[in-house]
Amino acid sequence: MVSVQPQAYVSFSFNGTEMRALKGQTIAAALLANGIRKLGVSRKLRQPRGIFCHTGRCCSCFVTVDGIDHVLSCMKRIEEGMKIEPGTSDPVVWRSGDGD
Amino acid sequence: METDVLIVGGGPAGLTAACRLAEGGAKVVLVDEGFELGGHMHHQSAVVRSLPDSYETMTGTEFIEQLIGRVNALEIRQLLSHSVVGVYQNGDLGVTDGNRTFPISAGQVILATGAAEDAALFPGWTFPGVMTLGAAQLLINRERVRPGNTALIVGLNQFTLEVADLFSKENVSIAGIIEERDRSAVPEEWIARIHEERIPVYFSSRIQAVLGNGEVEKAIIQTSGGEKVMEADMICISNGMSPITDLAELLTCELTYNESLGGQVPIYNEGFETTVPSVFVIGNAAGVTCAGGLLLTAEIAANQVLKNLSLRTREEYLTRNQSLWEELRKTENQHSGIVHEERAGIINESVQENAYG
Ligand code: FES
Repeated sequence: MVSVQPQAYVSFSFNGTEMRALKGQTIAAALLANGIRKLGVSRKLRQPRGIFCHTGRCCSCFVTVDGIDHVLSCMKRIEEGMKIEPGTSDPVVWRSGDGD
Repeated sequence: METDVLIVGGGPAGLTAACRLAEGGAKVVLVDEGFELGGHMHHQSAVVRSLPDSYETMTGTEFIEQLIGRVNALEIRQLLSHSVVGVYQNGDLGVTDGNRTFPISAGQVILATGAAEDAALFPGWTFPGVMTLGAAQLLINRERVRPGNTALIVGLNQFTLEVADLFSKENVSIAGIIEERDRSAVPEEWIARIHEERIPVYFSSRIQAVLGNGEVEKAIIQTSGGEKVMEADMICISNGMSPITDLAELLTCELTYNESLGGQVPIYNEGFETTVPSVFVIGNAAGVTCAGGLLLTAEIAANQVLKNLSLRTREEYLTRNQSLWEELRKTENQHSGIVHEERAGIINESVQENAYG
């Protein structure tokens, strides 16, 4: 099977904004195609993170999918109706004294 | 779940081993983290160099599709989007799909976990827009997305040349290639090819910092002629690869460090069996090699595993093992002067290990 189908579309939302992607694209690629490069922030210093390896190894691409956090967005395909939010969770680890 | 052989990794090496073993009569389970088989090579639109002589010229995609076709025609249990995450006390491997974790009991385990691209560290290397060159290639070839408009590539090597071609086809412009080494240390042939494409190369240079408002906008380059600011929305890192050894470590295989094979590598014997009996390592996970090396290491291990399972006689095994090693030597030496020699060193270590252990 060819992974990405050039004529078939899927609707999803990111941070509440409706978007469209090609069927078969990973969540990370679907967001990139919509101009979203910042997928979340790092746990401690809250620095922006995006696609780095796109092979599931670097863990730089975490997002929340339908309420489930820490999903590797490069390893999962986008599906109709998915609600994606940036990976900003893990607040327990961050303390205000840690700086930015 | 019970099986004769569990193969971890469905790239060129894992698929080759899976075919050989299933054809030889073994019961095979194949696990891969990804949602499709094929590994990195699946989406390489360039022609695969260094396939053994018996293969015709084809692209990575064509080659892998052919292999997947063979695997699909055989009775091989495929577990996609699954990873091995642990070992149970009785030796079973713990496999998960992210929701459910279950044991697989396998007499023989083959690690075909491949290699990962190395990062390069500089201030700003974690910014969105900095990615491995392999990620950029995959985004274009598989995901049909342009990863950016203007790229700076860090590192000049074979892979850089391959992806530079792809970028120019996709109208991704290349602002420059930053190479740490001196010009004299880089093969003339590569320099000539890059010149043809009119891409500026900065030798003896490195990235000092990547700047931008939350994502890549420009980079400061330290060149031999001083500092230079370059605009780019994407920094691609082409810094070589290292074997992926997590699972080998989890299974307590002993590793050794070998620069020419990409870094930490499990120690193995002539059948690619690690220091843990019945655990094998093949492909790039056994030392980064050429395409032919991926396939031949898989063939050698499969031959040994079939013998272990009494599906091959000792004579059959010996004849085949000898001819496969001969082919591996030829293929790897054509591609690189050092990889095969270093491999022999690893096998020597394993012999000594046995002598003392
Ligand atoms: S981009 Fe590296 S794990 Fe997803």
